[in-house]
Amino acid sequence: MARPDGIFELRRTRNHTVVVLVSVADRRIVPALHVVSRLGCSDSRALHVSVDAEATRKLAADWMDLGLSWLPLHIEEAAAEGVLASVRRAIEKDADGGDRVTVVVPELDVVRWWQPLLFRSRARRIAEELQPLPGVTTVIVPFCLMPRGSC
Amino acid sequence: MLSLAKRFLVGRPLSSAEAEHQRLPKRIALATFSSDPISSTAYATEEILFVTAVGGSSLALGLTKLIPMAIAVAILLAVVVASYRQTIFAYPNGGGAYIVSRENLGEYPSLIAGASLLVDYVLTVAVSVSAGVAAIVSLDAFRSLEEDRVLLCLFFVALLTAGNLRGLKESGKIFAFPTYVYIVSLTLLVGYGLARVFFGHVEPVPFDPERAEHVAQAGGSLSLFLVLRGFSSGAVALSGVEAISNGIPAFRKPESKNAATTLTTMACILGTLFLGVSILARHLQPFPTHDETVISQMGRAVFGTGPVHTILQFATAGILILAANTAYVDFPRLASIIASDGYLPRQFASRGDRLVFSNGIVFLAVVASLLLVAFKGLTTLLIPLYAVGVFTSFTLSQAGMVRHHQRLRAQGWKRGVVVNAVGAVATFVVLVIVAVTKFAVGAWLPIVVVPGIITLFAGIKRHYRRVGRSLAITPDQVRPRPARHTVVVLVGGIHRGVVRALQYARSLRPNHLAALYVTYDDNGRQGLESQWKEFGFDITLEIVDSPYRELVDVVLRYLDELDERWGNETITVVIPEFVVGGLFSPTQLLHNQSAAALKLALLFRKDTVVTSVPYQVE
Repeated sequence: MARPDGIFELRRTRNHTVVVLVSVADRRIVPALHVVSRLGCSDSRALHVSVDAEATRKLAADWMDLGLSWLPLHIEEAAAEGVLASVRRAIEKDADGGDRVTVVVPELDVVRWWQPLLFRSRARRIAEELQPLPGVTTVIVPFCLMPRGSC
Repeated sequence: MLSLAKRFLVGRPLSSAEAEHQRLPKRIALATFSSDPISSTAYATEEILFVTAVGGSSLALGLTKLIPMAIAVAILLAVVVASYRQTIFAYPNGGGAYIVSRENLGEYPSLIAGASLLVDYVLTVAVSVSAGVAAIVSLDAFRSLEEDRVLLCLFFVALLTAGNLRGLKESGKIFAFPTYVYIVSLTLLVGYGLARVFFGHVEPVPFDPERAEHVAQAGGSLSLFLVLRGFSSGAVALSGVEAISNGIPAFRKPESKNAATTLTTMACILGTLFLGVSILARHLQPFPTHDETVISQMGRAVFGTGPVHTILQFATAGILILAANTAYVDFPRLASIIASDGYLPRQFASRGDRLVFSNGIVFLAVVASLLLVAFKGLTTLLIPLYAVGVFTSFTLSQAGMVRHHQRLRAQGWKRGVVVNAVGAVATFVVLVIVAVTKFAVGAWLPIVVVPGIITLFAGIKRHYRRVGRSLAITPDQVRPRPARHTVVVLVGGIHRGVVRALQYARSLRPNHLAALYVTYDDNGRQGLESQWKEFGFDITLEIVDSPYRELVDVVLRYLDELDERWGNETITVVIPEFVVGGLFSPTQLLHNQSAAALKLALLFRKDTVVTSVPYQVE
């Protein structure tokens, strides 16, 4: 493969934003937050797409109570097209200026056959939704619901 | 493609702000919430006759008890409606028996009410649709469809499901017209029929001995047990009366006043028509059969076999099928309230694109369809299952209201206690009658199923509580943890996907960054080393030999070595990945098989993050 000058330069200056998607403030987001804090990117924040005003208020209050001010929480109203489209639109804005965006999606990992009936996970669908966006990488960070060793 | 089909069937998505505009004016609300109770006038009289005439001794003897039974049902209706008017003003946010029981009687009574109502809504769909199909096949022109009764039932369930997935107001509009046509048609039948009975002449329905073969041994007595069972069958007319108190938030402002007015209007229409049909039946003496409904027989006697009879039958079929709409409105709403309390999967509490509780609608459709198939779409087989749930929830709701008045002692509370106590006692007595007289013919099923559902509710709640406790966090667990972070990019050659992955890895600003190449022979090593130099990448390339052509184990060993070398707290493994035609496209199966196996292995490695950097191949 010939080297076309300039194309393969590993640019150092490009801005890299990390966005972690959150719906509630509980342990399922802990591994994802650890990933965010260890990535050391120039800009990181949490994104919540609001479908229920009461749940959003609770999340915002919990966010402050847990001392998560190091990771600003951004709240977007869910658009008519649904949560997935709202996430996509918000991430598109971040990636608009040619910036690199890593979207960290916490996922509740369940092992019993009936548990998917009780816990809906959208992580895979979000990954699929964001996949066509240039400059966007999705990282799914699982949290195992069962005791250690079961997952 | 799937999305296009969904848009066609369900319509465009609605924003949350459009929810207010989905509220119903009284005339639409009457049709939406009352189609179930009003439509029961089409089969309640017939079901009484099935017990007292067919299952009893003779048609003549059965008919003598018809009007007293109808009056008893009408009185019961008045008592229940008076009680529910209290509920509507006391609970303007709706919820009906479940919420009233939860707030006043405690957890388990509310679960009994909730489970009973959910079972009853499913039965409402099954009974209404089967009775609607019976009205259609009663017409001579459609009698040949009798064999396809179950298929027809399933077709109408599918139609209702699509209508309700489109949204509340629009489905209300769809259902208003047939409801009003039925009310007018039945009023005409009762009014014109009774006018002809009292002021003119009308021949009774001709008695067909072949149809009545199994009750030919006339002359026996009608036992008290059969009279009470007949009354139980007639009492199904009250099912759905609670729907308005469940759905108060769907009314326009002032919600409670509009809902109460609609409830009273519905009760007047229902009571008048039910009494009217029963009085007319007493004079026209129709014989209940599976071939032709009682309403159809009386329509034929009053109007003759002409267009008015046909319109009456179609209107009857229309309201009966659409009566199921009451359940389609209330089942998902109640399921969402119960789910919000943690007794049902949370999926029931989330609204779909059209602001309706899509999961509840689909679930209701599936279970009702299974019942229709199991009971061959025959109303008479389904009726005994009915009513137990209705009267259980009535009793709990009214008992809850008594406690409510006693607790709050608001103005006029003593009158409220009396009204609701009378309601509670009356509905409890009917519940006992229904359970005892119909236990052997099917009432045992809800009596067994409801405790099963309550056990399920309790199990789900217990699980959510346990998970909730295990998911609780403290500030300590979410403090930022700057850590020694190493990023390893796996390279299998040099191409655009690898370059993108290297760019990505660098942007993570790790403490250490390395590219890893696993080679199976010396040629590969030399080839990549020279290319790496040629491209001038300023990232360390580490090449590991794998003489036995292993990948996963070699990478895992290398990561362990890096941990020792740099004392990592986190390692991010970046894998360049081709995307061909979408992440979950079948063509993806042709690519990235090694990456998939590697990711699976790394999933179980401690403090390791795996990131796929997609590279779209045009």
